[in-house]
Amino acid sequence: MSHAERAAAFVSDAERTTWHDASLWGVRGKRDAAAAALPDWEALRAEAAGIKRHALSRLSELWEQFEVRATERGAVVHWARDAAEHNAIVTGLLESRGARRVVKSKSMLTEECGLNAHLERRGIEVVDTDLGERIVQLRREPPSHIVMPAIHLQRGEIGELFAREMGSPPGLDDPAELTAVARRDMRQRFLAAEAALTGVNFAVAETGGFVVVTNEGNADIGCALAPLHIASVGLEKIVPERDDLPVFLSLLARSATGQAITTYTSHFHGPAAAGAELHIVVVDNGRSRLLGREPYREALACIRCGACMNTCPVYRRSGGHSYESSVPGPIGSVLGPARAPEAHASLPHACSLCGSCAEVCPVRIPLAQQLLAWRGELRTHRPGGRGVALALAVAGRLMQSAAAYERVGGLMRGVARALPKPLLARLMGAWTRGRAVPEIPDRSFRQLLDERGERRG
Amino acid sequence: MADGRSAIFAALRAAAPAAVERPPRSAWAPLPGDRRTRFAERVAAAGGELVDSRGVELADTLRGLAGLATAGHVWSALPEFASRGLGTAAQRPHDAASLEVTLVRGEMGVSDCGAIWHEPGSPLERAAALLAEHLVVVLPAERVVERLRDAYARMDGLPTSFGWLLCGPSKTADIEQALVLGAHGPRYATVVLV
Repeated sequence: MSHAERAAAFVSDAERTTWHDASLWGVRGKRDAAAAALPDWEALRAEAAGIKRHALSRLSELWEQFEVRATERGAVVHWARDAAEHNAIVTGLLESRGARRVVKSKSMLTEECGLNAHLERRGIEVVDTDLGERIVQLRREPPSHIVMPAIHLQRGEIGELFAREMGSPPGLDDPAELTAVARRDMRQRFLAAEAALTGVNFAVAETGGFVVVTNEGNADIGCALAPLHIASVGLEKIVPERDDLPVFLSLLARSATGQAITTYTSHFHGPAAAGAELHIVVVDNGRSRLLGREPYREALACIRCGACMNTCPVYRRSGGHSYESSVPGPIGSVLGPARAPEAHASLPHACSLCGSCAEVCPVRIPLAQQLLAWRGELRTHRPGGRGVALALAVAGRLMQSAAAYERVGGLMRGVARALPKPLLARLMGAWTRGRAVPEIPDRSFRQLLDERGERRG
Repeated sequence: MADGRSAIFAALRAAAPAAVERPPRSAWAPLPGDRRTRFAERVAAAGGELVDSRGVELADTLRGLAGLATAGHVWSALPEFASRGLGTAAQRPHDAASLEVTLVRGEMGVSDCGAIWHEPGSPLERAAALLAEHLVVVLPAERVVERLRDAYARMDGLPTSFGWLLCGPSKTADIEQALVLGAHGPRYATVVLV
């Protein structure tokens, strides 16, 4: 199925689409306000982009340094070439310590690896502790956004879910009361957990430490209580020095939600206490291959803020599930095809090439250019089928001659004005789905300019 | 079985692009306005409360904070306010689950974001700061720095095993973007400037 086909179900509920669009646009507005409050916002973006490009050019040295330092601090570093190796390492650690109850904070990498399903098959109970992730876990669906996993759901649906799963009173739909229900339920799970799994926002080569950020405190509570902490980290998440952190931390939350910083920004350097264990699983899973692909390499600079999703006119109206990728939106449409080109061939077309994603990206990934590059590379997916391909081929020829273009344009305007509107709408296909056919003008843009005497050159 | 580690390093070396220089560090301009006013505004924006105890006995200020006088379960890292109700045997971080109030001392405040750098002295202190209903952080006013970069510049050497920037109470907006204070951790956060 293509992105457009998967999006059809979401789009058919106009009220929900409008609400989803407005919610995310609101987050984009908060991001703009937060960015405007820092006089050196653009300088920080440039520096962050530069640090990431620098780091990507020397990943092997940085990870070697990280491994030495982390080991000195008492952590154990593991290496996984792919998702299967990652899942096997995590499962091995849990099983060898008899851990059956596990709490996990948000980690797109473990989503990518399908860790939860793997653990459940082995009889290990894994609970997602971020509220949004817990909601989608109980609904047995993937997150639809990397920062706001349940942004596609409305309060009434969550109330029904909690009534069924946590025994809360039916009809509860106040976000504060629903959050309190989830908090009580989760507190018991935190206290009973035998291991805590987290992702990593930034690994620091210089110190062998890493940073995890949350607003809810869920990652921290898990790690503070359980004797075993396993952190999964993708190869792209490393920065050279501790003093690089303030650059990224100044950009991350402001870009993500408009907050100046998250509630918790936790720096882990080795196990927190005697008897506690810290394991770090470094995962490739296609990242080294992407590093070697120049047109798409910079996608590895992503810090997972979600700003490109919040601003994307396609994401806002089609919902995250339509991407069927652990990371949706513009960045997901670059990363998805890198992982599985055939399966995700339609994603680079879920884009109007408006370029807004690159404008808000805190590390200045040229997302629109990358999406265009994928379109050129993945010729197997042709949106609109042969009809559109033929029309584009004809248009391509016409546009090579100004005279031919003007003549045919005049002819087409005449035909379009003569045809009955319903027939015209059918001929225009997807363009008129959900839109009225516009009035067809009787003169071209050039003619209108000539009449107004404003044409120059 | 081939060794995953060496395979990954070989793949990284094979794919590495030409060396890219690190960009020069940003200047981090000072922000307009007064630093402590900005810090107070940022704490409030994060859902926290700021109390100025300068020129007042800290013990008196703490006793006057809402709920502190009557709280039954308190963990305190401060000599000015005694722990109570937790039992002297409390050692495991899990023992912090019943706490109403936790009091700790912050190392630095950051005016551009309202966060406070804190290095818990023990696993119990860290759990106490997370599991209590109300977290109180006492911070010397002269330790409020301008920008986040300044806070990192002042961290001497390597941080201890665990340190964090704390900003306001635990919060979530995962249900319809509605902000709720008190997600899994504290519902209230107070910064006391001394």
